Amino acid sequence: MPPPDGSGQVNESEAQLKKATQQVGEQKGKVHDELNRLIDAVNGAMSSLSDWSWIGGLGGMYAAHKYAGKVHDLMEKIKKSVEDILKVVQEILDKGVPVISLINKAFAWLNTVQAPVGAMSDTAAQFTSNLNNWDGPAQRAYAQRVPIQVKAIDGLAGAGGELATWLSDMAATNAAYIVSLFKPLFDMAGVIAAAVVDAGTIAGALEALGKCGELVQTAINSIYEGLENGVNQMTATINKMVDAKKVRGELGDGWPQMVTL
Amino acid sequence: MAGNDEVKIVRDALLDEAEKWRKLSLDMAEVKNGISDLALYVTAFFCGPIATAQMAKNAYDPTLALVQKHATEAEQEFLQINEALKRAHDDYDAVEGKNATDLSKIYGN
Repeated sequence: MPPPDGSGQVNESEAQLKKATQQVGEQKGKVHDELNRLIDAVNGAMSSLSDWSWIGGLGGMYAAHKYAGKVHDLMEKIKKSVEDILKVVQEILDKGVPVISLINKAFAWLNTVQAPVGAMSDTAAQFTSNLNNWDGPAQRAYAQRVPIQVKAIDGLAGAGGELATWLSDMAATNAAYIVSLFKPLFDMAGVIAAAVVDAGTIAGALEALGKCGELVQTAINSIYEGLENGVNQMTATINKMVDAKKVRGELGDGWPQMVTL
Repeated sequence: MAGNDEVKIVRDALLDEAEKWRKLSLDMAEVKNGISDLALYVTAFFCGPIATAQMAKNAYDPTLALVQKHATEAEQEFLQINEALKRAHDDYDAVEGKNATDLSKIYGN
């Protein structure tokens, strides 16, 4: 008999893929929002610094100007790094869109191959009524050869199911890859949010931005590292190659020949 | 006569069985046509290094081609079984049918 319907597993992979891209998209939005909040807070602090700097006279004004310059440079550096990584995130999300066709084709393997071919199995195996009155060597040869056809039918239906699973696994692997690649993004929004309060004060801005810049850079570096090596994704895909080869091995080179005339 | 009735029953059953395989051949032709829509672009496998996506496509394509080959051959084989059963029907009679040993006339070698 053909294997059971695998649509549950394909549905699950589809949900994982959608969840992964949705989560990463949301985090990207959060990082962007927190960055804007941080910029507003720093701008607010620096504008109040210039309001009060005259109190210290010329020396005070010079020191305030120098301090504001450092804060500004740090803020610009963080802004550029974050905006650059958000562009990379968007590119990967865009490239991930066609991956959904793995899910569409997985369903198609179930509906186009597994289900209809599986339905042929019983029809092929069950002889027309009254054929049991047939006797003789031709009948015996027929009775011996039909099960080989039925086995091949089951094998083909099974291949349809296995390829549906194969594609949906590949989609799930990609979902896991997207999440693992952009995991540091999930910390980044928090790091930037944590800096907003202190960066909004004249006294704390430089230190808060310095710390925030370091943490943001660490997160960004680990995303770039993940992008560069992609080792886990490569290993997972190589493992899946073996499964595709197994399907080909199970199918054999060609359909069994019962009649050669 | 009972003997002639039995011959008729078997011959009709052989035609019904032959028709079953003709229908299965048509069903398989539909499957075969559907398989041609299952091709995937390399972009579908994309996530991370392009070499990985290409590797996945390189595994998928020959598997798809093999499944299509099987469906094509199955469609033809089912039609041949249909023809073999029609030959069995044509050759059949109560005595010779039971004793015939030249199976190659029906199924080939």
